Amino acid sequence: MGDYFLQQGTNALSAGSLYAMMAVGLALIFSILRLINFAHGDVMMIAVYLFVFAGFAGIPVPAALVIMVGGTILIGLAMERIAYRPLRGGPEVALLLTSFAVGQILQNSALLVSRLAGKPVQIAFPAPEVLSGAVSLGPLLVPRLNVASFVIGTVLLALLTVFVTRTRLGLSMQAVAEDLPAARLMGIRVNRVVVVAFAIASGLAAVAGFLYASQAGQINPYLGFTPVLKAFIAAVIGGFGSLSGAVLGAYLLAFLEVIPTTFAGIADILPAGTVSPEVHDILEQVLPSSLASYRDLFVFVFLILMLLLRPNGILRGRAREETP
Amino acid sequence: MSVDRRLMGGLLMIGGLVVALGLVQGSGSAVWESRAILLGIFVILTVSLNLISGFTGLFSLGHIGFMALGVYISAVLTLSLEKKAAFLPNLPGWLAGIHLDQMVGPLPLGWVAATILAGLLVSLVALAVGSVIMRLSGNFVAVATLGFLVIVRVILINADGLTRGSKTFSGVTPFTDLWWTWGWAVVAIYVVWRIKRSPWGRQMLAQRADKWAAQSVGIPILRPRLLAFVISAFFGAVAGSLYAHFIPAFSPSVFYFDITFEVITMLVVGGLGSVTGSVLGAAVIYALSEALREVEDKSQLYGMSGIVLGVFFLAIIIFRPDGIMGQRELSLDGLRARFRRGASIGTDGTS
Amino acid sequence: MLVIEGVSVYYGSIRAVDGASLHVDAGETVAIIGSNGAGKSTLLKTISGLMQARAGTIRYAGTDITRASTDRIVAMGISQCPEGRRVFGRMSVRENLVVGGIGRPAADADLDIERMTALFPRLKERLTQAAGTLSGGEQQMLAIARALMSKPRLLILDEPSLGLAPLMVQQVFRIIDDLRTQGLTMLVVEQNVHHALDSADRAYVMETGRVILEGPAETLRHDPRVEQSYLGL
Repeated sequence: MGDYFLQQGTNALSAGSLYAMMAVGLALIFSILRLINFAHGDVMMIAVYLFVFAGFAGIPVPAALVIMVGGTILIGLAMERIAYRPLRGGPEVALLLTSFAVGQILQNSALLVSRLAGKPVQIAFPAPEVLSGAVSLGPLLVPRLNVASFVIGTVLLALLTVFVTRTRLGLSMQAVAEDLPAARLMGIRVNRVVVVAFAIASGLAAVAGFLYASQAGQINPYLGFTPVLKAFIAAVIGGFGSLSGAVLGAYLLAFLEVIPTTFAGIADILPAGTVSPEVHDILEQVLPSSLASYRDLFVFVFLILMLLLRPNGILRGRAREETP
Repeated sequence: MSVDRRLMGGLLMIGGLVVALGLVQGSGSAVWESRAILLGIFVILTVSLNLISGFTGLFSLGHIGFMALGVYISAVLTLSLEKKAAFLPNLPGWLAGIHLDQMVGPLPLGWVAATILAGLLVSLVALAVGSVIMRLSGNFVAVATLGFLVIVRVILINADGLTRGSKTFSGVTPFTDLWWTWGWAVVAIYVVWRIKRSPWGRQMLAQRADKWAAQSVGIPILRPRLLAFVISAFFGAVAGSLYAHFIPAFSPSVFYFDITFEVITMLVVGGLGSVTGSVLGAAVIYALSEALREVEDKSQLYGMSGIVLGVFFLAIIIFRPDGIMGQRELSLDGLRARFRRGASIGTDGTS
Repeated sequence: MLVIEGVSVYYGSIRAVDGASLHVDAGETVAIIGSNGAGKSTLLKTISGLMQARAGTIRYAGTDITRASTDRIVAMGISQCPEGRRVFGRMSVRENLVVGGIGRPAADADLDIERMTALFPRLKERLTQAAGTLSGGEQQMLAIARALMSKPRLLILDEPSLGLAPLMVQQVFRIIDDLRTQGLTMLVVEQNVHHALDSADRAYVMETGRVILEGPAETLRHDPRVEQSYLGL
């Protein structure tokens, strides 16, 4: 039984890494712009489509990967320049709504391109061979994909940490996130900081998207919804706007998700005779394995509770002050 | 503008509406009649959304959740006994016996009762949800209401004993027609209009318009917003009931993001805070999306309409965030002033 | 060096600054005094580009900077130490200073920080501490040091004594006097009339958005109208 939990643990670590890459992007953009970028999930989706269609065009995988990341960053920057920059300084909700409009545009673009290329709505994702199969780590058999997700995620996040804490540009970002008017008084070019933030967020989303699609095996224009939702919750748990909080929240969320499935499976995996049949029945009834269908509901209820009770995150991260 | 003028203006508009509806009905075209009905439903949705989002600036992304609840509650209430037995065999006993499909002469009063009942029940839900959500601030209210939209959908899908889950719900008697739809629309417009003109309404608008001034005066925030939320939910449910009894086959997925975004676009295009704007915005966007859909069907370029609408929304919010009407309303005096001034338009249009 | 003419600034529909005119010459220390809500801070924010004037002009070293962006204004040599200090609490003292010097070449950063710690010995001990953990007085030192990192030709100080104990206030003004002796051009907004007039060459008095008095600091010190305005009479 210990192995079962360890196995779930590796799943959680892998999923957590993906959530973390997405959540950090969201937190980065929010901390600097006060924008909840709901189109972030669709950015991830576009990355995946770029890779797939590059493949259709006969482009070899390494080049396709470059196109994927580079193209996504370009789209992210265009998004910022065209849709968000003109609204800067305006009401927060306008930005939120705009992010939905951008998301709509991205989703339908993917849909349209698929149509024009004669492809179906749901397309199979050509995950690279090297990511298939599993490795044995001690008593466990861990899918290569999980290992890759964890390793890549950790490396990228470590690099990001170095960037944010050690470089002047990174410090500028911290300053802007903490106190925008004061940061401006330092002579910081806010536009440049915003552009860099979007580039980083989009790049991370592209990588996360690739790993996510490799796991799912299939892609469709609406695949970004659940990831952005999870990323948002992770960011809220960690105290919206805090990067380290977002990472923490992401792993926490991944582990929290694993729990219901773990428990739902407990009744099945308990060795016969450990519990009386009555208790067994009760467990079966109380924890339906179709908990999954209620998953979105739990997720949102949890989110709303967090927003109400711990708007500054579980670690009480400080919220940004409003200034005239 | 004096009371008489306003009354006259209102009566003129209703008269015009009656004529227009008569023409549509007389034309015998089912397509145009159905379009007019859908437009009416969208008008109700937009105007009621305006009440909470346009007036108070508190954006509700969950409005369609109220519509969805209205759809299913009213549909279950009016579904005939036979259909209930056929489609919803697992209904709890007390519900299985209800069928509000009685007619009194030519009037489907059972359905009217079901609509109002659905509206009231949904209002209660809004009261509960609203009291919780109203404590959050701007951005986060939007996210929480989005959560409501998702939660409603999940519940509707899972309560398949009551709703047939994700399977298509059909067999609803098509009570909805041109007159009932626009009758309700006029009621909704009137209610929101009156609220806007009330001191309470002015208060809310002032809060939205000049953050600095309102903050310094210290206007109490919580109660009016909650009331607005509840009333807007009521009409959302009414729109739902109209929809359910017009398009007699639907499922929870219909009442989700796409239609949410469409109504929001209608609202923004018309102008947050303007009742006239909501009507105009609904008309413009509905016409646009219908046209786009036709093009899409003919050319098979699926996805194109979504892109165009999205771009349209961006253009509006960037270049003309006040929409067509801003916070202004159409008024008799305003129109007269325009005619007199002729080409030199510089009118403020405020009434 | 700095010439402001007829500047009006609004918050929405509320006018905070009404046709204000003043000037600061090279090497001078000019003070702006007046009671709360007089529009002093708003004016400073407008000079630095955080807010836009709806009317009037601001010229610096001959160039019109009324519509210039903040980063350009800083690059031209105007640095502001904002009201309430506004240090970046989550970042270390050292990092705050680095950010202050962001407009200057990276290679000079270490040298500049050395200069600052020489000027402000208290900061030297706390270089790696989070700025938010410093006392009010220390934060003010840091804010001034941070503003000096960009080697400004004009230093603007917004209420440097705000919320500080009298001992700290003395220290802060001692530093301002030092800077004045070194020939730095400064524009200081202060509620503490006594200190402000002691450390300045000239002063302006603002009330409800307007400049109502100006003159040499010595003269204004004895002007009864100054006291009136300050007490809001």
